[in-house]
Amino acid sequence: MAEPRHGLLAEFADARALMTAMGEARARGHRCLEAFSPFPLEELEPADRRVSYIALGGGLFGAALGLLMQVGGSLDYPLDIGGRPLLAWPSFITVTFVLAVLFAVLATVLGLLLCCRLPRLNHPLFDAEAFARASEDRFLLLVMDEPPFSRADTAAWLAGRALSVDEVTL
Amino acid sequence: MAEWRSSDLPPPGPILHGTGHFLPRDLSDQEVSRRILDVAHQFPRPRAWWCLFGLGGVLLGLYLLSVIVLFWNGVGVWGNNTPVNWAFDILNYIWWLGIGHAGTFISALLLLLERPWRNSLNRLAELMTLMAVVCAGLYPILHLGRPWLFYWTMPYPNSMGLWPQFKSPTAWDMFAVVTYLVVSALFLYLGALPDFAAARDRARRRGAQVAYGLLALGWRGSNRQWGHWRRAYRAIALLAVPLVFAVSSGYSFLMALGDQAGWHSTVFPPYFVAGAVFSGFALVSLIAIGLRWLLCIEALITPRHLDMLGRLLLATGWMTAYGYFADVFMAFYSGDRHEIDVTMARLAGPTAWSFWLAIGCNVGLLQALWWRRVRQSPRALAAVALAVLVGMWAERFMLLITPQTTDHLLSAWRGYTPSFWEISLFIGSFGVFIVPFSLFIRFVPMVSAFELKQVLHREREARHG
Repeated sequence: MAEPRHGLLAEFADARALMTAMGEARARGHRCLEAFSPFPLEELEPADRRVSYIALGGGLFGAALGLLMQVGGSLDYPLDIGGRPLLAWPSFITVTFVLAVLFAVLATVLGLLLCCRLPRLNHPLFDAEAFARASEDRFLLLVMDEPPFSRADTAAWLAGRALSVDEVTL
Repeated sequence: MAEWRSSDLPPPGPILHGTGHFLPRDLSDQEVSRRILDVAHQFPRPRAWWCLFGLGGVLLGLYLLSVIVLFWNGVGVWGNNTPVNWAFDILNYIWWLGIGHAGTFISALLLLLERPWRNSLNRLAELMTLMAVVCAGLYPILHLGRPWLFYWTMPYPNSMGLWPQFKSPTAWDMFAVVTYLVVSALFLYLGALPDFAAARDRARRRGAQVAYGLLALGWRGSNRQWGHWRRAYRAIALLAVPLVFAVSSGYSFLMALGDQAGWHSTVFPPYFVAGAVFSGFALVSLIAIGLRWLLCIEALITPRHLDMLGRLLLATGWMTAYGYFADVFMAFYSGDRHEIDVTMARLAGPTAWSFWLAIGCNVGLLQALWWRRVRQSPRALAAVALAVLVGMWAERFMLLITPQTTDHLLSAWRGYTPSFWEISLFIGSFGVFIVPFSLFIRFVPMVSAFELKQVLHREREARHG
């Protein structure tokens, strides 16, 4: 089992305070930071496009599967209807497109769960008292114990800005 | 209970807030959570809810009875005949499926266009979509004659060496509907995931904590998770919008690709998309009006939201009206004798009532929505929306059934009267809609709480610069 890691969880009353604190923490040299908010704050989102690429991959797979299935099915059981071509490409558009959408969406959802490391029904953070309101109206900043973290110093610095500061063990 | 009543809020008169979200400016995040998430453990109008649920239960019972009678006897209990092979089954399938499309439009298209007011309506519209697709999807299975073999429509390796006929619109339709069902369900679930987490954190009873905890999958709302979530949600929205076009054009091909006069027209795909979204906006309006009363959330779904729904109805109604015009015009312009005969049967034949009912409701009554007072009055808007639902049903009747009664061969002309079990199945299908929907009302946050908080936050930021 990995060593338990320690961190400080600071609670803020509004998004602006959280964003300012996160910026300042970065300026102080903290790298291992995580922000929690009841709604998405675009300014804090990391530029991680993995989900988009997974969606694209799923879409391409679905399109290929749809087209191959129709071509394969038509060749495997040929039906001559009024002498029309066996491989009538325009009639394959709908199913190819629809299956591309289906697999892209399935891949997006799976990709989201993978990237977010979900489902994970319990998490040590849920034990922190302040965390219960992170989905309602409070904004939290987690500073992990990595240099330049010093328990006393960082706690004092956070206490000057936040409503409350909790110690957490992950 | 008293704090639930809307009377302690400022009266939601026809105030035109200068905001993009139409919500009271001083609405706090806590208040949003309380109004939306506490419904699950303290329902504001339990008696009305039980009435709704009871009505749904009775209708669902009627549905099950009609299905049993159908399975016992076969499709002979219906009024379908030759030449009217497609009757209530396909008519109601198209009607229900069309209704579903508006949910995707409100949710996905308005998300991509960044309309903040969408966030009061998207959850209920998505739920409506899901239920409508279920109601629709059951019809093709029921009408098969041998419904236990419905899986033959799927491509799977089988000992008969058979494949679905991929050049047929009926095969496309199966893929389209299954995909639409899966995509709508996932879009709804993903959009509600952060709200399930909020409900989990707010729940006090063990059972609720466990249930919402399982649904929330352990969502924590970290900046990384939100980043991935937003990308995923927008990606699905981007895929869902063209899917609506594919699905509704798909079932218009069922008709347009046949050689039946009155169906064989290139205007059908856009005509069906417009009509589908039009009828769906009507049901969204009705549900929004009902829910804001049932859940006492007049502050979250304001008259301004109703106003927007009214405008959408009016706009899509005119697109549908263009369809009527183009359809009739092309028949006469073609000069084809049989096309003209079919169109004359629509305008003046024994089933002409369906054409004129459609015109009266979808074009005539609809024009009341030019007046803001009508759009912002819940009762008036509900009346127009109800008329549109009836009108759209009549339109599907006129489009689907009238041409079949006037077949190519004069000797094959025959009328159509629906049987009792056909009508009861249709009425019962509202039970299939209402029962799960009322359960969702009770246990699922019906307005997207976190998205409301987000737009309120953005507006505050913009105001304070």
